[in-house]
Amino acid sequence: MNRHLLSAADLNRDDALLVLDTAEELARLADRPIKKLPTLRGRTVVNLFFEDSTRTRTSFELAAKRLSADVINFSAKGSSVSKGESLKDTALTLEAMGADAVVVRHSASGAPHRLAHWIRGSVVNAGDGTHEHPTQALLDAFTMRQRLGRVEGLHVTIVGDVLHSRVARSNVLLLHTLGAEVTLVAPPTLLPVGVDAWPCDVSFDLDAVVPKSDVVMMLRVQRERMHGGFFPTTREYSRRYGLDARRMATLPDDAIVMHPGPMNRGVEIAAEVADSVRSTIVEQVANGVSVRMAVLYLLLGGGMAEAVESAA
Amino acid sequence: MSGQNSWVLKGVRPLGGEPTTLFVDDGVLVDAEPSGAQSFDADGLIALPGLVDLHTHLREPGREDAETVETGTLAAALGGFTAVHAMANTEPVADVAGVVEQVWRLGQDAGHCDVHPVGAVTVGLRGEQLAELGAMAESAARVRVFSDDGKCVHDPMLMRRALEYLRAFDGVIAQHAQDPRLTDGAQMNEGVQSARLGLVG
Ligand SMILES: [Zn+2]
Repeated sequence: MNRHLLSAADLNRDDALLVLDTAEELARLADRPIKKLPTLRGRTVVNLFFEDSTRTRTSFELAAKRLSADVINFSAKGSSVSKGESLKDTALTLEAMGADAVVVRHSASGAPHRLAHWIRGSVVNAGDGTHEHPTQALLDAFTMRQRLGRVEGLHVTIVGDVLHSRVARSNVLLLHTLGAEVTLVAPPTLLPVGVDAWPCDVSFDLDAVVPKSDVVMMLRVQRERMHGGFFPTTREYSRRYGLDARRMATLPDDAIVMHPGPMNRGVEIAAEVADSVRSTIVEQVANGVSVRMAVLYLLLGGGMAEAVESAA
Repeated sequence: MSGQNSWVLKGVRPLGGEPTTLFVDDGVLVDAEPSGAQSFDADGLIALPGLVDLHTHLREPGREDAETVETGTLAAALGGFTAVHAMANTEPVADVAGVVEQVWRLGQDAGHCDVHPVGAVTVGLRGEQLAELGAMAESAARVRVFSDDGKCVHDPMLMRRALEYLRAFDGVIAQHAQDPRLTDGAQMNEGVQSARLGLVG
């Protein structure tokens, strides 16, 4: 594995499978009364969040703590960052603190990449702008494997605001690496120019694609996009690109429905779909911790055999 | 089958062709003379395919005093038009599925020619927010041509979004080649005549 995890493209097939296998071993921990491993004792993991995301930060924090790492939550609010300290100055401060890993969330695409040039520790991208969110893609792949037994050969349909979605970008890359066949479905306004060069298919017709899908992943669509003119109304968006019970009924028997959260019930996903047995939304949250443990563990120098042994 | 609408058109010239005889059986061109067809001396006349008018104002609903779907399509059919596109500046504006379906149904009921309602690109032709283009496309009217006509979509970003959005169902936008900032109060083409007449170009 590379020293950093900035993009899902940093992982080749073996790397990705190693993360998933390690996460699977580590997931067994969650069933034990004592969930902690001594593996990263004495190592320091910094959560550097320039954007509010309690869910993702908590997930990384829990992952690091279960591996016995020291965790520092460095939130941009109330810190020197909001007083105009540059990203580089922040990086130098973290470097001086001896951070072994920096988990960074930033509103600017590319910020983790910049950071990686300035510090010696590992940088984990926890979501940068409209670029990538590789650990989300890993936990999604993990969830698919858990439910369907494999990722290779699955038909995965990703629906919604691809243009602004770091989840979509990371998923397209990782799922392609793992041998799944991805189809993006969105209004043409919410697909980036140049999407034709991505390793996936594109469709504007959700009804045509759903019956051929093993996995349907619904992306969050923000109501603000309506005011940006990307679509006329949330009503039309839901009708054309939302997953309701009628569309869900056309899925193959074993197919699952995913959502990275937080959901807009009644916009991209109907409440009865979100709460159905096909929905993996709650599992995705739980799997997030296991996958992030695996990523931190592997980036900070752990080998696979050791991981399995200590989890046993 | 034969009837009132079965004809033998003698000496007619299909556009760009030589004079010939055409057989029409109940409104449809056929190879042989239908029984009971009426003969018509079309010497000197030209046979054209059904014409399509991309820009009409049938004024219904809202301005039935000026025109209705019935009167407009009757005039169109008499002029050789088999399809007309009805612009969206009705009252209410044709910016939702309900209005375009109404206009389409009126056309079906009148029965003179096909009526293809043109959907508004923006709500109320106001140029601010996209109308429900997808709902109009999927309605019984199956709208594929959208236009704010004389109002023009003058916000370039909104126009970009509209053009992209329509790709999902192969729609097109008809737009006057004008910018409202440049045509404020305009009355005629700007040039020697507008200068002489004192009219705004
Ligand atoms: Zn007009």
